[in-house]
Amino acid sequence: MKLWLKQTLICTLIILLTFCGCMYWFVIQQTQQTLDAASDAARQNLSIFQDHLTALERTGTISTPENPTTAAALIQYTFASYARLLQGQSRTYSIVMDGRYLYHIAVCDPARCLPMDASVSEALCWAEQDGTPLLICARNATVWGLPVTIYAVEDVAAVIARMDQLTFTAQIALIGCLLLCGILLPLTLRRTLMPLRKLSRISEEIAGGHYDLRSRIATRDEVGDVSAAFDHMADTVERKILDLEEAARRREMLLGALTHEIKTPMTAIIGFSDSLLSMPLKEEQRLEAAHEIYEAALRTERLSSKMMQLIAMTDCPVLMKRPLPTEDIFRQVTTVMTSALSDRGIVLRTQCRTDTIVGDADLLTCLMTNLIDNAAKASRAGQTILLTAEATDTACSLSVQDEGSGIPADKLALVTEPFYRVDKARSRRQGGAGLGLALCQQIAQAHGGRLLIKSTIDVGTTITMTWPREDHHE
Amino acid sequence: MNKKSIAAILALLVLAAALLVGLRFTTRGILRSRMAHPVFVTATPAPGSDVSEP
Repeated sequence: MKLWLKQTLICTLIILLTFCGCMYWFVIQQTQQTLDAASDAARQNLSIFQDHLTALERTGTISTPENPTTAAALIQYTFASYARLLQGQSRTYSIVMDGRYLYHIAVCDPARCLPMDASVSEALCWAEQDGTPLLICARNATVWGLPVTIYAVEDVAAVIARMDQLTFTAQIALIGCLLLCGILLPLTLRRTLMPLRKLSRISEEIAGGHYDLRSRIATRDEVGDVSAAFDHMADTVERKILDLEEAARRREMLLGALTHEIKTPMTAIIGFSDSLLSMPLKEEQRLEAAHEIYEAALRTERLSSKMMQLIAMTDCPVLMKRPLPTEDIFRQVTTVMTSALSDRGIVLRTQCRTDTIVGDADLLTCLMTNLIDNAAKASRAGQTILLTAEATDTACSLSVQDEGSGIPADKLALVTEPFYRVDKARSRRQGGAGLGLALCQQIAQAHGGRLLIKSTIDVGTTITMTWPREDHHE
Repeated sequence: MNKKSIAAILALLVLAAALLVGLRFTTRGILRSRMAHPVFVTATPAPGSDVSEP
């Protein structure tokens, strides 16, 4: 069941019951008052009639009859005179003495409908004769010592008609109320619930792939709150989806580049192996082919090793952050790199501006060796590479500065992409895979920091990793 | 509109019709009650109350 219909039915039911309760109370009160007023009027009329009759005795207008028969005849005559004068189409009078009527023209038998005994002075009842509602009123009186009962019978069809008219009016009001509820409530509720329909439509469209759609219902009520929460959720979902799409794209590019990079040494290995197997070669040529195969295999191994590291860092970086003595870690890096740098005639200098840095020892060593290796590839003999460590209360930084060829400004944003090389020929010649800076970027991100690259052509490059001292991953 | 909705609307309409018809029955019931209970006023009324119903 739709919400607007449910709300319409509930509201109509509540309004109907409330309205009916009030209407029933009003109609019952009015009916009681109408019947009471009719009763009071009938009693008052009969009282006046009785006063007229007993006035004969009180005022002494007629002398007291000597015997009861004369008195009864006189009462009958006087009563008939008054009755003819006072009665009309809707009201008739009767008088009973000793159980028989002295005067009676009523449509019903009032003495049977409302029998009176001596202990009762006045009585009243409602009756029905041949479908005609009647109000019968009776009074006991004594005239010239004779007990008589006077009856007034009134046709109260007009009173009942008033009651029916009142009921009919109430029924019309009730039907009007129902119609109003049935027309106005659905219109109002459907209009009120319109934002929810919009929200539902937008959510369906978002589910269909339109992630940029928003509901933007600017009302200061619960619907507005729901809309704001929905839009916030849609923002988050869109961002996540874009991130996932970007990650998938990068992974695809990485795979493509890896395939391409592996293909080059594999081609060399296959070519030289084929030459060794199928061609008669001199000893020198044979050694040269074996050496090329060995170099290509080494390049593939390095590529594989870097890729492993990069994938491990990307998927699940495990960080063991702890305070590290700067001198110890610099000594370790220097020991590893000295041999390679000496062969190229490059000098490595270190500068410790802090005693300790906080980080993962293995990852920081890996970062520094990669940065120094890159710096060495860009430097010429006699140039210097400067390794610096700094720290404040909140952050640590490591930087590697060279005096090499530098990186063009428009390439700075790309050098951390996997397999990206500024000088492809030189990089391949020097055995580079184009993964070093990508790995450094991952290490910086694992530490909650970032890699800052500053470079000037033919002046040199400074790459600085800055990261917070506190561990955000714990 | 499903069966449940139609049933709910019909139930509401039946209730409304019952209340409409019931109003006439109520007023007639008041009149029938008056017909069934005549009012008698005694000749020697008791102190504080002069109306009794047999």
